[in-house]
Amino acid sequence: MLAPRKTLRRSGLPQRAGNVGLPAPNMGVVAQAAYSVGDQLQSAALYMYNLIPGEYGCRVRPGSREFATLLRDANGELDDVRTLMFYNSLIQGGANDRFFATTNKGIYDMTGGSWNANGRWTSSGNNPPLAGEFSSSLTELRVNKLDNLGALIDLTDLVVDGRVIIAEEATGGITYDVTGAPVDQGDWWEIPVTSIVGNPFPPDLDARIDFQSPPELVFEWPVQDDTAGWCSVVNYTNTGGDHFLLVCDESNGYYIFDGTDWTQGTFTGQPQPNPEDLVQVTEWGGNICFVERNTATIWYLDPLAISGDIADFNVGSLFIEGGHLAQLASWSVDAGDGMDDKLVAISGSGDVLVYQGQFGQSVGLAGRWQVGTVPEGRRIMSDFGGDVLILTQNGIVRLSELVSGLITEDPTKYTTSNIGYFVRREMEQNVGLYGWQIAKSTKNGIVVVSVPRSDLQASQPYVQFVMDINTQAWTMFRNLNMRCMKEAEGEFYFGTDDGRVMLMTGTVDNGTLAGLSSVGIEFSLLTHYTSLGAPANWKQVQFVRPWWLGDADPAYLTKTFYDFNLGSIESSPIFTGVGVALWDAALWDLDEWAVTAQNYWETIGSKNMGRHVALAIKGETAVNTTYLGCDLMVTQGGPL
Amino acid sequence: MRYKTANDLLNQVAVEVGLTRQTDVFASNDESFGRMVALANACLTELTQSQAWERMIRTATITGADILANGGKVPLPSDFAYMIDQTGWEQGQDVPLFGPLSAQQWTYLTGRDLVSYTIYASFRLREGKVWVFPWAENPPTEEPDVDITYEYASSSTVLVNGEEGQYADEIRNSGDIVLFQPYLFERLLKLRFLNSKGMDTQEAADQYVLALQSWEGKDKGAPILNAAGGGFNVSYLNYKNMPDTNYGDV
Repeated sequence: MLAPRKTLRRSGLPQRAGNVGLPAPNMGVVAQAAYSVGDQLQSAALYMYNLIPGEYGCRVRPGSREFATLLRDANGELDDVRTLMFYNSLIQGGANDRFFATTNKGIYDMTGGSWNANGRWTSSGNNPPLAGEFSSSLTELRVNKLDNLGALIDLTDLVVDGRVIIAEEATGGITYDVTGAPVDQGDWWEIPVTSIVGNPFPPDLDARIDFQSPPELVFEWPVQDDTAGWCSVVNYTNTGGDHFLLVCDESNGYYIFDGTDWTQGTFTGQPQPNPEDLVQVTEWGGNICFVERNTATIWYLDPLAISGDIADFNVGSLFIEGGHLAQLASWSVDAGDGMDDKLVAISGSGDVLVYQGQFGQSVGLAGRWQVGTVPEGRRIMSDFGGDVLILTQNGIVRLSELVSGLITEDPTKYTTSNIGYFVRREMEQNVGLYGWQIAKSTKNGIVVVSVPRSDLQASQPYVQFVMDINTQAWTMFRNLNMRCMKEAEGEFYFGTDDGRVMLMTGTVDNGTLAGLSSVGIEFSLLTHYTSLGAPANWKQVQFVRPWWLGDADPAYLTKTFYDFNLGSIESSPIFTGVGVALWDAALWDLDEWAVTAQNYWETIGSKNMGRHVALAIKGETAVNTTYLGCDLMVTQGGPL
Repeated sequence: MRYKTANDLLNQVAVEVGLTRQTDVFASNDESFGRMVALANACLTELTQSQAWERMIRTATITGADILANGGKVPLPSDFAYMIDQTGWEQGQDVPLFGPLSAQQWTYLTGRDLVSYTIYASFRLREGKVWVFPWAENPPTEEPDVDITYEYASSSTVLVNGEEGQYADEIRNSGDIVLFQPYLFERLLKLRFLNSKGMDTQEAADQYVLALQSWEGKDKGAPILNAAGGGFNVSYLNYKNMPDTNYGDV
């Protein structure tokens, strides 16, 4: 009899991989101590871009869309927008409010945003009569007054320097610059444009046509040099109850907007400065105060006056490092017996002087500090909830910390100490450029530090340092072309280096004025390294399971990094998820409406091994998205 | 379908272990699939070595021309995995091929100077070739009159993108077809994947063992066994139906 066949040994093993959780880095970026014993930095990131460490987790930052376009510089180029100014009139409701933007050419009134009209053209649906043609001289576009739906296209507001965008929606369109006012030819418009290449109206094209005009240039600077357009601004109501916008431009001095016109400020008495030399303005205790260019002199007007008698106050003898007076700021301090505003003066060499009292009565020095090198421009100091933030080469210092004995050489005392590495790196390259600024976006609960970018850095992404007001944690924004910033009427605006003013809103970036194109927001992070409680043991992360909350699953990649590798994931997949419909834009029965945010997760494999573990994520989204944290399944080995 | 593509096999395992199905497992950014591809290729080898599955069996021929051209040391087929024992035959002489010879047997034959006189072809495997005796020791100057065949297990376990005749021994494309029974291959891959990830493999091991035992038996046809005996037999000429005497009568 044959022996029964030998049964194969069943060799299965029980699970060896353990489970651990890695929460979202709600502590924000902490670019310190990559090796942390005790894992106290498990909720921190070594870097993080376009994610805000806020409620629930790290949410993808707001997007951006064009508000005004075609702001040209003195050479006619689409270049730096340098200052955004909001005239907040006394008339409730905003009818008399004005929103201005400056370039080195002048001041543009962009109230309400750029003018945009559109129509739709099809080769067959609108022919005859003529739908769209171009002249044989290649310098005119001819477009019907009625689009293919019979709607009137009114081009009476299309002006020189405007543009015509003939767009297939998928491509973003072809742009033609308008060189003259459109001529009404009865049934059609004749639009002078720059040279036309190819046939803008090919027979098979079904396209939308957009017509855009730049905001009105309401004031042209007498001096249009490299520093013109960098302004400081004060909204001010005088003794007569009239409201003004007081502006000091770096190259053109002091100007006043009265709600209708821009005029140069005038002074009486002796001595008096040239208005052209007043480069920064602030209000302190009812006095309008000025910085005079290339001096250490403060000029101040009578209380509640915007012109007239003016007097000087020189502070140069107190600047121990020498240099010019760069900026003045008013500081509200709670001294225990009521609010007592102080005047803060900072030099280009980083000497900080704090005065108390009132001009015209008695003014006394309350203290003097040195904060080191400060960036170029006159946006070094910024009001922040009654405190003053001072931007220095080592980061941001709160004035309240400074006067209470902060040693500025101690990097941990800086508000930005957690991102000091990144701040110093940017400052090292760009401390001499205009464009450093601190601004708050209440709507988004963040403070933004804009960082200028030199021409040599054109290939590098734009970057801003951002603090979440709620968590006080820092992060960084990328891909927002931000030269200046302004919060107005609850919204956050920023000017770009290509002649646009953007509104921070929505869930996509670079939404065009015509609404024809936008891009998803790319985000990335690298968590702090963790030893998972066993610093010496080798570990292999087998699976990661990131958790998300949002309107759709983001497109992303993950990678487990080991042993203090500070690398990044090179590229991320393109977000192709379902977009969520927006009020005033979406249509019932056509668009998909947002519902309660859903959670999303996916189990993803991981490779390599090491002793300290960090998780890198890079992705893209076009909907509200929050990163919550990640489950890890890890096998552990021995220490050798 | 009798066989499945690599894409389908790996996705089946992926979904079973909780991963997300991929459109193309080779294009996936999930590192699980990189590991799974590597493990799948290891599984090909593992199943190949476990037994000579019918889909792997090939016949190789060594002609006199091959012996002449290679001095008696004929290269193995490029897809050679291992020889199937006792399948060598010298068709020209209608005699079996002797071998594979051990090193001692080979040196014995060589030492006895039977090189010129042997009537049986013998062989051994050496240096990745079939050494055919006596010509491997005494290269012929004329084409010997031999026609040798043998069967071997091929490592061609993958049809490249499913194209007939295009074989490979590893998967490189999502459309490659794996020439193993899909369920068996999936059980083994799942077991190896879970094991490499430190997961519980007890149930997966049971599944694989059962599948392997089952498909080992089902891979080739076999008669039905009957423990009660008395199976069907054709009564050829034998002692039961022949007379006992008188065979020599004229």
